[in-house]
Amino acid sequence: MAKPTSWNIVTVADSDEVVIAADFPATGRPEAQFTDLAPLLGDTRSFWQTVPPVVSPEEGVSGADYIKQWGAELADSGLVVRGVLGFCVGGVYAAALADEAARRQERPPVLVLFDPEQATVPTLYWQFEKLLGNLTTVLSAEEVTRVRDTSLALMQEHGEDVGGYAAGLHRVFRSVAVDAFGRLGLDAERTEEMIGLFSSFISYLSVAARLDVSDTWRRATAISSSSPRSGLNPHRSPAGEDSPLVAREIRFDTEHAQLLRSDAVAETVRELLRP
Amino acid sequence: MRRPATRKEEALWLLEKFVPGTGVNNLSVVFQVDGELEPAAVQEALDHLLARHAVLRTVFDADGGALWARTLEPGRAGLVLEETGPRGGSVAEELRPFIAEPFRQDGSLLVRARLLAHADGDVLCVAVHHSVFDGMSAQLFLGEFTALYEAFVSGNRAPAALRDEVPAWREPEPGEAAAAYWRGQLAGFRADALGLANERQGGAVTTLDGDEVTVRLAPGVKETVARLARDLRAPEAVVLLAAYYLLLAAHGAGPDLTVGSPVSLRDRGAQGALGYHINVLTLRLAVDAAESFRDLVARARKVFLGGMTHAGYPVDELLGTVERPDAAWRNLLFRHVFNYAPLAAPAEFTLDGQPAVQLTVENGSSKFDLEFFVTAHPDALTVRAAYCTEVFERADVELMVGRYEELLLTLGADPDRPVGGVPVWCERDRRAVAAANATERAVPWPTVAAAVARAVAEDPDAVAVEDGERRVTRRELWAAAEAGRALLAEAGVGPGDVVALAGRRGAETAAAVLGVWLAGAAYLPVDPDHPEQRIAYQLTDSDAKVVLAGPGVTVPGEGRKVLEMPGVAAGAGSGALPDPAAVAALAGPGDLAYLIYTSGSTGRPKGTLVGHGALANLVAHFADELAAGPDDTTLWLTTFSFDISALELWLPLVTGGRLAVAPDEARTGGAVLRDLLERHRVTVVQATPTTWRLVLPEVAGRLAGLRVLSGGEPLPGALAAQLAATGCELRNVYGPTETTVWSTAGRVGPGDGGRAGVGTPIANTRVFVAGPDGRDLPPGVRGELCIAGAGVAAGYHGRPELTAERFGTHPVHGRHYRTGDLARWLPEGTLEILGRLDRQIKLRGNRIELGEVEAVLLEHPDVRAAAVVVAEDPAGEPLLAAFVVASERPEAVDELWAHARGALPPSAVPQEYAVVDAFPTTGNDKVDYPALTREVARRRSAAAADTAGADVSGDPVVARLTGLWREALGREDVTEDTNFFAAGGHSLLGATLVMKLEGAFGVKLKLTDLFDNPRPAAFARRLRDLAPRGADGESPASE
Repeated sequence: MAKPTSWNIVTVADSDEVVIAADFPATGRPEAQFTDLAPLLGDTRSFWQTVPPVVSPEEGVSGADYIKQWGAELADSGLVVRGVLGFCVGGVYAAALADEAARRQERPPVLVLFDPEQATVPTLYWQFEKLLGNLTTVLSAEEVTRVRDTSLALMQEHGEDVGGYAAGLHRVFRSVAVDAFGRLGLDAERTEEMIGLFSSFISYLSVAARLDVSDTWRRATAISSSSPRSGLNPHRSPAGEDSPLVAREIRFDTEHAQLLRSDAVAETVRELLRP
Repeated sequence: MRRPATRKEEALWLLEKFVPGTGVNNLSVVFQVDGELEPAAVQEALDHLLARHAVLRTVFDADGGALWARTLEPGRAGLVLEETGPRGGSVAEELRPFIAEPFRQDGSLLVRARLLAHADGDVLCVAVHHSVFDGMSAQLFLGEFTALYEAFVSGNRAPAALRDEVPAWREPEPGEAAAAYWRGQLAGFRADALGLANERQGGAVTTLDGDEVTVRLAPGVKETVARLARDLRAPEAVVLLAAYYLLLAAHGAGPDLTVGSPVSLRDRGAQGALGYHINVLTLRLAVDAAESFRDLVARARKVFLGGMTHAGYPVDELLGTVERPDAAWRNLLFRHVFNYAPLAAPAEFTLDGQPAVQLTVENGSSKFDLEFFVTAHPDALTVRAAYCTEVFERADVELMVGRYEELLLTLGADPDRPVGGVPVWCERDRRAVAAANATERAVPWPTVAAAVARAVAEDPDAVAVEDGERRVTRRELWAAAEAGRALLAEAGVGPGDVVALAGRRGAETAAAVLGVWLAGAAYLPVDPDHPEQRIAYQLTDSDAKVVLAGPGVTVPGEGRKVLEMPGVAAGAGSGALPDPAAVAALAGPGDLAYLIYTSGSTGRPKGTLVGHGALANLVAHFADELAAGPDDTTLWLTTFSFDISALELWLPLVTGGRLAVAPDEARTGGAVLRDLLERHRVTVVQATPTTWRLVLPEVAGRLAGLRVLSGGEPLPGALAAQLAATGCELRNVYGPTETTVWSTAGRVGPGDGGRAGVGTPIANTRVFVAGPDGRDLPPGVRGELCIAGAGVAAGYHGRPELTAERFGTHPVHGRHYRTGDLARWLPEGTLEILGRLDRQIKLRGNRIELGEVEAVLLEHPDVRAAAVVVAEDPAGEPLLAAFVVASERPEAVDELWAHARGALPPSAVPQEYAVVDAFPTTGNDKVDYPALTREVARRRSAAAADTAGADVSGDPVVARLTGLWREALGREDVTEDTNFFAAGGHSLLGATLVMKLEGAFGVKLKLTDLFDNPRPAAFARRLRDLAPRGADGESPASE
């Protein structure tokens, strides 16, 4: 039997409805994950979370191809998608998946975006910078500086070309990672695994730029944290106004990293999913 | 560097210990090209694949009772391509032995390859052990092989993507959540309700020999499943799986069911990993007959998706959580497997420009009773049903696939009706059973009396009855009947009354029956030789108004009106001949013709009320089937109080033939019977198998051309063959008293072999086999035989509650009788009776028909009668004990054991045998089984008293074995009667013990030896069987 491989089945419920969530759930990340939120939503519906494809930015995968297996396995399941949730850049994939589900079923799913972010070169830069911060104990100061300088230079070079920038970052990362992980005592297999993980992550962040979901976002509800650099918060004009990118914004006095484990957020999502 | 084998790997290899010499775990990749393959390039591609994939170089070593895995260095794997020429067989025939050849746990490579130069094109076959491979590996392997071969055959390097070495992929460790999930899923599950009612009898499996049936389902099925998946909001796999549960339930499994389902554990990043990366999930679901398919699918979806979510937890870890029947050594969690491939890999491809096709060659084994592998092709679904040939017949598996196909279409048409009401039949089933039940036809006479009257009127002076030297004409017989009528009328007997006839077979009794009918009454046949008490009971219970006693018969009891049967006088009846129409007008088909007493297995005898219509139908049927006519003489052999006697009596009298009266001695004395057959030129004779067995040696030479009926008891195959070989026209007839003498009849030919079937329903009779839930069962599936139609009796006299219990009304078949007999339709639409329903038992998880075991014992030439009961051994374990009426030869018992061993599955072979002169019987001449069960215990305690004080551990082999048991189990309280598996031993521990035993005694053992003989004392006997000179060097006689 074929087990869904592009989805992590978090909860199995009696009902024929499923709530799906798009995210890149790297183990050990500081932010709360959908696996934290799912139990807070109760067990009236199944809860599935995306498993990102194993691709590298150089492959130039299209947005449609990137989400293809998610869509196919979801359709095969026969389940009705009640809600689609997206975290950060996952909001882009969530919107694309919601569009696809809407074409298949009588009622479109409810789309909820958590601190949604579009895939842009600056987004990629900030995500990469965050990752670099996690590697400061692994890389030497000289390596960190070199990588940071190169990534900034690449940002200048690629302008708004997210795909090109991602491929560049991948090359930079590989160039230092092999040595750095070798020093840590990781064997070739583990090193490839780490690089592969990075490659998948950077692809996840960049392929989203190839999907235009702005119309869909404008029909969605956003749940925003209080972290100023997350989600819609940096893009408010004038400051403090709700974002015009979405239909409705619900703002919480909760940090970005805690958004998916907040009881208040969960309560709101339960309400939004109520038929 | 070596590592201990994982539990999954160990489990695979352990299975092979039970079925040594088989390739039960061997997988293969086979393809054929339309042309030739270049051997050097094939070898190079194989070498490259082994160098690239570390998992293909993994080998196992058995060392000190433990199993270790290690990976050979790339250069040292040494896979040598064998090349063979064609030997004229099909590809499958040529390759199966190569694939099935066992791999070993001795550090040798678990991959081998053969290049077969076949007439239709070269074939490459790569056989791989499951411990390093699986179904998905096969597709990956073939893909990489193709690319490598094409490169090498053109003199190129390997493609860049295939140059790197691929380390073996390690499955993620399952978490505690998965363990908890599966423990929860299987809590309280018992594995012994998984058997199907169409399995071969006995159910014990010892070889895992397998076969398969592949069927392409009707085009509409694929669309139906897709539509159901959309409507019911479930994956197609779940729709198909839910229907599989229903199929199994409809065949008698469950309702608490488990189905195994293999799932690839590869995650998104490991889709290209070769190796043994599947788990077979145990998907448990209880089928509720009252719920709809929609609801069943919803529950199946949850079970399926839940299972997938926790797929990483290996099935082998769960074995300890399920209560196990003692001797079961195969998979305990499930016996049936379901698999679905939504996208069939195309079988055709090209290899270096040549058309090539991938072939499936089985390894000849089946680990599971039944596996349905459904594959979706662009235009249709196919089902590949692999099955264990010891469990199923091929025909039954074919029918199951057919039923599955129809079931899907039926469910598609209405997924909301309760599943219990959904028929699980296929067209072939319906055709066969409908043809057998198409028995409607006109009965040429309204009553038997009217038919006799017509014969009298047609030729009054023809001889009707021959009794010794005496000849009675039809006219004389009728005159006595008229005299009887007058006598009864005078006694106040009229319509609705019962008249007891206490007479022996003869013209007077025949005339007396007619007299009773002419008086408008019904008769009660009473055997004057029965005990007084029984006769008195019948006379009282039946409210018989008058007793007509035959010559020389005294009737017990006071206060009864006893009259003498009128005699049949020579030359009587010169007056008017009977008017058949007037006689016909005396009784309608529903009026009572006779009341007959039969003994129940429990309780007091009950009187069955049989109407004129039922009797007329029976006699008309056999008149037609036997083509009985004026030239025939039928022997009246059966005692008058046994209902089958009625057919012997009336068949000749309604068809203008002669009735020849036989004395009682003819039922046991072959010479007497032979003399009768000759003297009366008998052409039709009916008897029970008991009689046939007794008389056959003397009468065999006189049966050629005769129409012979055998009924009243099961007809053993050997006896059937002997009878048929006489050149007679043999029919095996079957029917309970409650449906009027016989309800089915079947011709038995000399070459039929095996157990004789009972044929098909007689005229105006419909038969169905009902499951425990009352559902109509299709061919092959065992259930209770129920009979509807013209023969069904009115009920039991004065026993409304018993009548209501045994007689029912079926929505389609109408009023019917539940026989209590276990039966099944055979695929071609004939019936087979398998014994009494209440004699079906379960022993250590195996379903056993005690009647079946008895039938096998009866096949032995020395055995005249056999009765098998379940008793307990001193340890409280159930055992089968056989009682036989047999010749006094002391060696007969040993022969009987060997005979049973050769014909029955091990679980059904009786462990104890006793020769007795006769069986204890209940008051009603039936074997008293409870008394026999008590007898086993009595004999055992007597035997124990005989050996009391003997030194039980005096046997050195037993003592040594007890020590090894003690050591293996790690406990001191082990005695020679300690059951290894009941004292904490499990299969892995058992395997270790067997290896030690092999070393200690220098014999080759199978794990099944231990399962069959789990106690030291019993195992010692097994050891001595294996080493005839005595395992301990002493004579076996020392035992």
